[in-house]
Amino acid sequence: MNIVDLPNEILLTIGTFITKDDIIAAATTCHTLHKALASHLWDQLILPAQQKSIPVDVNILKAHAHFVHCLTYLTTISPDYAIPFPVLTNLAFEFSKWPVTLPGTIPPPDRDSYLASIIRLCPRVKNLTLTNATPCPAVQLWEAVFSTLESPQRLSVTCMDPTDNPSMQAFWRACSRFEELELVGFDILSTNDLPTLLFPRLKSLTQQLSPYYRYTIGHEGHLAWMMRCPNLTALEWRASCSSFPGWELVEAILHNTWPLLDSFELIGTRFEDETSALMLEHLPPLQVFRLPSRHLSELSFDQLQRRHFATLRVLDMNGCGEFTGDMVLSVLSGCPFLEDFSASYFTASGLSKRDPSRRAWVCLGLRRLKVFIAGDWKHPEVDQLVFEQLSKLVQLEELDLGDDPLRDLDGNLRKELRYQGGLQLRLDSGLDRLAGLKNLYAVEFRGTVQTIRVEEIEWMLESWPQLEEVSGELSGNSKTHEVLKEMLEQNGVANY
Amino acid sequence: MTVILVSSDNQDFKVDKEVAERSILIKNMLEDVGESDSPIPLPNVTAAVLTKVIEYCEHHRNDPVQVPEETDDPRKRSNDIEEWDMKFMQVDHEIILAANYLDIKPLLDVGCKTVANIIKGKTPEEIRKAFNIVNDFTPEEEAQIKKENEWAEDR
Repeated sequence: MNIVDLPNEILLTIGTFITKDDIIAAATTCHTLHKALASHLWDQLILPAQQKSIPVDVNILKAHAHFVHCLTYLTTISPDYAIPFPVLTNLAFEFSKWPVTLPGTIPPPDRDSYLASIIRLCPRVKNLTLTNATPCPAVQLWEAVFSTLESPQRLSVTCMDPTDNPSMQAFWRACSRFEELELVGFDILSTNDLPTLLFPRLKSLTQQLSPYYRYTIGHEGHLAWMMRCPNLTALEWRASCSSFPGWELVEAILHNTWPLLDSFELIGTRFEDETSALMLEHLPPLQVFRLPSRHLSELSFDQLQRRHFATLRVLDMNGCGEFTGDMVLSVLSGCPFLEDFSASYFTASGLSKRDPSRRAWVCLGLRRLKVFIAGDWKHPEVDQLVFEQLSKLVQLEELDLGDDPLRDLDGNLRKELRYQGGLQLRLDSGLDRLAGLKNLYAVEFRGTVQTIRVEEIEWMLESWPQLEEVSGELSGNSKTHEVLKEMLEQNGVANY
Repeated sequence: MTVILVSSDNQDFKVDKEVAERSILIKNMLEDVGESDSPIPLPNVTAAVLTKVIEYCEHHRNDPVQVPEETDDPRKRSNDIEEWDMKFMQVDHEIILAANYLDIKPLLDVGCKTVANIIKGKTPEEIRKAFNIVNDFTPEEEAQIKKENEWAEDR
């Protein structure tokens, strides 16, 4: 086969199927391959090299700068490397976690003027990341971001400490040009830090508060600025539960503050059922809903079913102990577009009572299912029903039957689960019906006791070609567990 | 319904429309001309190669049409090649070129994966041998390239 005659675009495709070391080897064979694969070799770059102490030759860097699309600067390098990268789209600055004085480290404020000069040289950057941005980068850096970038997309800032910094308004001005913002470990400490402008471009906002949150202006401050983002389609808020402005948030939703919203994720908060039901009633139809709040129950479920079942793709009800098995089954037979679903439990007997006609679940595109399924040891034919339904989810990639905290608000295990174990993944229970799940790569059942045998493992290895992980206790008998675990590992399947 | 494909060396091939439409190029052409019996000329594909390509399309006629789904997930970017395809690909690069021209993405992928699998884990010298590549670097150039590549190595 004469590969040197293949056009560049095909050689590049070939390059996507091999590792970087293989690309290097191929690129060292002749001029043609070297030229064709150079863009792969220089596509992503970290400066300086982490594992090597050889300094970058600036001339080599300059010769290949036009190939670099993703660049990470560890900010301990010399200003010599501030050169133009004409096609750069992803730029990341990683500040060291603690103030260091390693040789080559540039301390602020020189650091910031150096970074600003790099940004000015790379106008086509779409995605900008700043990690450990402490202290807050200076005004000139944010000015460079605001005025240089031609079509900014996503800004991700981790662990920035604003502390009444005069550059905060410059920071917000820079933010207002992006469509996606991710602020992690980032607290607004005073009202002086709140933005005074609107963010009409912003579509997606992820905000994760610092665990060392200082309650200077509280979550209300965060909410106040989110309300300046009228065109949000995705809102993700990870908070510490205390002092969460639940009612203010509900008010904002009642006033239709985010009419375009289709993804709503609130993590680390606690809501009463009434509150979340009110939000669900007034939010636009959602594709993504994640609210692992343990009080969520009937009222919220009713609103979910009425307003969101037809659109939901991702539903996370993890840790919602009041979300009953019957509700879980309603989701499975009522959400046609569901791809990822986490919930606490349902029972095999619940399924058989509810669905005597054995109508298939409608979520045939489901790729990830996390739910504890309680088997029915007295009526094995009922377990067969569960396998029958699962067998139709042929897109399934991840099946997690792990044991959630299956307790009600008083800490008691639910009555219907008290005497039931988890669904047994055994051929004589109906496991063989799952032979059609060809995309399945992970099966988990942590916190439950299985009684898997050698024949089940053999069957899994044979039937599920993508299998990478079977995690949990394979057998109550620790010796059997070890034997089965070894069997899996010998076949490249992990057990954690 | 059948269509007639004409190779660059003027041989006619009568093929089921369904099979021919595995090629997006031909599919688009057929849509453009509408109902018509006129043969479709393929000036970039010889009869020998076209025979092989049709054999591939026949074998895969019932496959679901691939949804173009770009993935950066290395787990999904597997180099697995079906056994039939593996035997089939023991030919030269002309099949890859034809797949590219005719726009048959799955065949192009199989071709690229086949080449990738040959490259995997080999030294430059072994790669040259596998593909009859002539080393056209001067010793100075080779030294320079080695130095550059040290930079680009996995990190």
